[in-house]
Amino acid sequence: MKFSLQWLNDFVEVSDFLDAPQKLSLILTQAGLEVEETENPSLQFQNIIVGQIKTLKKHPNADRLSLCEVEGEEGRIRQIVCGATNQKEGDKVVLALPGAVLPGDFKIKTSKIRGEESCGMLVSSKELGLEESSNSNEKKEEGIIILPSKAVTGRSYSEEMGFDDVIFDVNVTPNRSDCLSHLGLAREIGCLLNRPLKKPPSPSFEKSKATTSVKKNFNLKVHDMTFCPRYCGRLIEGVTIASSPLWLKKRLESVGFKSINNVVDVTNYILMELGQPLHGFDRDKIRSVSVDNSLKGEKFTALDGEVLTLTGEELTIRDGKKAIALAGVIGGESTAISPDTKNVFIEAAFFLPEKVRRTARHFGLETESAYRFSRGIDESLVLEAMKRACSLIQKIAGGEVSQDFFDEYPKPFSPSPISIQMKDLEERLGYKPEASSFVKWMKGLNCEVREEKDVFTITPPSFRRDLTLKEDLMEETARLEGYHKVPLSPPRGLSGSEPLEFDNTYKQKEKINHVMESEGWYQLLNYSFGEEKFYEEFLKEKESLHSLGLGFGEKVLLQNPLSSQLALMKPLLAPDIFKTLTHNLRHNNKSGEVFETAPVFFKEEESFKQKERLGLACWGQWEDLWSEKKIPNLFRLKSALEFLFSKMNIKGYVWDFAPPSLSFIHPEQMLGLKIQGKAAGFIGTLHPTLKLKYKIPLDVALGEMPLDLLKGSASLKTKPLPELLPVERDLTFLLPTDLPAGKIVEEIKKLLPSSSDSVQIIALYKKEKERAVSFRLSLNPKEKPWTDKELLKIQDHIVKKITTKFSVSLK
Amino acid sequence: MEIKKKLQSLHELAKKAYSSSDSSQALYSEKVKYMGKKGEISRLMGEMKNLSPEERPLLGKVFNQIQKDLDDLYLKKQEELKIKEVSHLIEKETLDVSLPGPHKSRGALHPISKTIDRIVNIFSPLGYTVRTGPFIESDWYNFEALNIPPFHPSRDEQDTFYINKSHVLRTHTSPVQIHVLEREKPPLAVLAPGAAFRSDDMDASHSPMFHQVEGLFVDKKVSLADLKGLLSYFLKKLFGSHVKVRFRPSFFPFTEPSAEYDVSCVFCKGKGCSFCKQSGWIEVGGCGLVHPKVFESAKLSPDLWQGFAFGLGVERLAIILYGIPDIRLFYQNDLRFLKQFEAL
Repeated sequence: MKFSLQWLNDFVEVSDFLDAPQKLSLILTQAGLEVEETENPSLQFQNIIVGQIKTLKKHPNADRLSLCEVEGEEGRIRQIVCGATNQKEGDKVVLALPGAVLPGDFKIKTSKIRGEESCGMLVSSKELGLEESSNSNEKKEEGIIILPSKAVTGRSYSEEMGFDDVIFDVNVTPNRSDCLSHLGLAREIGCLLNRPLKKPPSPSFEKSKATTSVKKNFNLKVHDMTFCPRYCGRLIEGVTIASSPLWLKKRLESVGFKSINNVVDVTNYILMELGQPLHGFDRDKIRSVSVDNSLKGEKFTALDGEVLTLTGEELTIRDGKKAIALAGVIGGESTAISPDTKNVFIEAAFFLPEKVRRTARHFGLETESAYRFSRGIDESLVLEAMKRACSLIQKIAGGEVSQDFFDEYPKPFSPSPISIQMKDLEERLGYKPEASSFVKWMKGLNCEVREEKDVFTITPPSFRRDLTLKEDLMEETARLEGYHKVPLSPPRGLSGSEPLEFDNTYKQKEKINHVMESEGWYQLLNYSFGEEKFYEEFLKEKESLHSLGLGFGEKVLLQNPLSSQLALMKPLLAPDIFKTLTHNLRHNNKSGEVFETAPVFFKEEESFKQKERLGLACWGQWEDLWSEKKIPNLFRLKSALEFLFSKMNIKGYVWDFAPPSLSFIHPEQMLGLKIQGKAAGFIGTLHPTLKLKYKIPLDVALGEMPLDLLKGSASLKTKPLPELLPVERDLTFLLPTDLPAGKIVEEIKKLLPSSSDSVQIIALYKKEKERAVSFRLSLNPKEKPWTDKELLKIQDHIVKKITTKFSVSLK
Repeated sequence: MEIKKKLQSLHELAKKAYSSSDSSQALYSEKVKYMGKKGEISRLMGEMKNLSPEERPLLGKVFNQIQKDLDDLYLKKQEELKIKEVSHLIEKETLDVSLPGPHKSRGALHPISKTIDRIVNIFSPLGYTVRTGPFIESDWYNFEALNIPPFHPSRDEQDTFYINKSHVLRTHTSPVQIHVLEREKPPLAVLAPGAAFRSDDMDASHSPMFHQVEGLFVDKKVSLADLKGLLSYFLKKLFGSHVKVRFRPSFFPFTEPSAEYDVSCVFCKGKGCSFCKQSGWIEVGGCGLVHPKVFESAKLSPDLWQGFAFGLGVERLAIILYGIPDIRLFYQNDLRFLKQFEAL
């Protein structure tokens, strides 16, 4: 909320901060009322001064222009060319000097107009930006500002007009609704600086001849006092709606309000001054007033012309069967104050915060009134505020204030007392404040303080409804004393109890991230939500994904996404990783190895599931001096994963050479993964149609796997080193191109004499319809070295089995 | 003895031939020439059968001497020549050592992960361990259990993504406090790093998804001084012992008293710059003593347990630590950005 220092000064002496606003900012910020910005509105009037026209002549070269000699600061005379006609010699005028900047970034400089020099400009209120915001009905003829003759020639315009002010933009936390008014903040400043509050002018009414009575005029019925604990109303008859006086306009504008008309401006003025939202109804457009819930489905046209359909939940102000205002939120169009309004019914009430907030949220009507009601206002001030409003309206708009008024307030609010001891403060704050200063602060906050033995009983004032627990008083004490008074203890952690364990998922993810990093891969971070339409391209084969261990249930959509591009909680990592790829290709990152450990989301059996996944992609190929052989990215990805499995100590994983196909993966270049017999994701080359669609010119591999299966064994046991060295034997088979060499490897593994023996593919020569694949066996002798005969026997056995099982031949 | 003389002259010839050989290959052929199976000396020895039995051993002795002498000479000469040859070869084996080695991808953790790691590593020696919680939370965990009833005004401050009437994307990591308090027995010292979500439009300093680290400490007696001490320690560890730390009163429904904490601006050293909006301070996060209602939500007695909690904005810390100008860079995953985090 914006606060004007001049306005605050009505309630507490703060004029000493006019030249040092930063000092007050710091005091408020340190007390929990963070000042986000300060601004001096008079700065916009720099280089604008009061001038006096000494001589006035016609411009020699232009009929419509005149030449003025204007006296400025220190008796200096300047020649000014002027287009206005409302000035005469001797008039005090507003002179914008070279260097001044008028609204619209209009820079004033010395110039020649039709051959005559003009050292500045005499300005109108429109040119100063004063006119535009007022909504004056009288169409005045365009002319420059003529100041009263008592204006001091040469003085700065803002000083002359009393525009010197500082506007503080304060971030008032939701618990401090008492500070959402100038009175409230002044009270706080008074407490912080130990300055007394100035007595506000008490409402006075001009003696009215008429005996207007609101009660005789009206029926008021509040149907449920729990939603509306207090309702006040009063009548003002015979007002004249007009534009507000300058002082009122200026105050409202300085704190961000637009001036509307005198009556509406007063209600806004009281809102900003005392924190009490008010509403003025055109009395002649209503017959009775009641406070009740809306009717389901009824239509209501708000002040701003918007037609709302009510739900039956809103608290409304009603005239018979018709809703005329959403209580505490916004008034209705049909009963609003208009230029023709003569008689006004002023409402001041206390509506239940939850009720107002619900309505405001539902319709998105975050009005100043709703803002204050939903945070809670001072219900003991309601009547006072209404009286002050009526007196101000009468002063400004005339009319007669009714002798009587409504004040429905059956259960006056009485704050509950809180007991607290000094030792509570010492224990929780970590230091012992003086009892006397505690009492001083509590009294400064307008609390009632009673002391009995060691126990203080504190009764907060009606405007501090946030103070209900002794913890609240601890905060108040620490805050007012200053948080800097709280000492620093040595950093505390667990001591004297068993240390706790890290969360397993976190530990596992951290390990995977570090292994992938050490393997040279880059970690990604994507939003948890994305575009449903885009995701669908990847989610076509629900069954396949399910049998790959990447199944998902119902989709989880946000009810209020920022945009359709950020609406669906992602059920798969691959789409966003793909997006990363396209982003990088657009930015000329021609090769990459990236991974992400992140959750996916879906709904299953009415509950939300969050499953952690590892997703990977690599694309392109690093091209340099040494890169000769192009390795398909699928194999780079495969080897990175096998590196990971080895680091994670994951045993018993198997690649599935014929996995179920996916729409975004090349069906001929895909592998399924099984860990301990369970489906654990896939890796594969990006489908050529997707490459075509997204114009991707490079080889790309993608993979995704559930994290819960990537858990390795924690135990690491060594084996004794063999005494004898293994012997290697190479076998080359001719395989048809559609027979995976990996199947031969698997088969050979089964035929090897010992589990410590191994086989690997060492060469591959492609011919037309078949491939020559060389396998190297490494055979460990047991107790004595192999004899040629033994080796031949093993080799023959393997060759015989392979050739018959797969119908292949030995080369 | 004719044959002995012959032998001796062959010996001399062989010695000369060995010595004058200029390559190990030439040396070898000389060896073959004289000492090979069909070599001249061997052939001469073949004639030994024509000698008398008395002469044979004498000649044999001479032969043995010659053989030993030539073998020694051969080995010596061979060594010499090898060395010469290697040094000759070295001159030919030039290599452009200015060329780079084969490329090796370096890899990097995401700056958010790096920052979380740094935070966790500061707290973990004190006994703080990590907990996680779900991103989709019920209204109870995200709000009500944290003393934020429906239609509480502080819900306005957290623009919430709704999944349905009862579930939201967590707006902060604070719900993990409740999960931990429900599941585990105090005393507790835990950290909960992770993503949180608010429906802020994306711009240079706002992102609908962001990361926080929540801290929670619960014991029999816990004071504001404990909280201040811990966070000051943390911030000095993270930014250096020269930074100043400031605590300001604030409001969070789940802590009382509540505070926000700032560090002196690391860019201008507190003098005021555009980053700190001329204030000289950078806001780091919120903290406070655990509100009694929070203990009650988790069915713990606030008369028995006290605690403090704090939150850290990870993006903000990363922005400060690494000088990142725009929060959107974290989520674009541009390798030109990610590659700048290769250093551990």
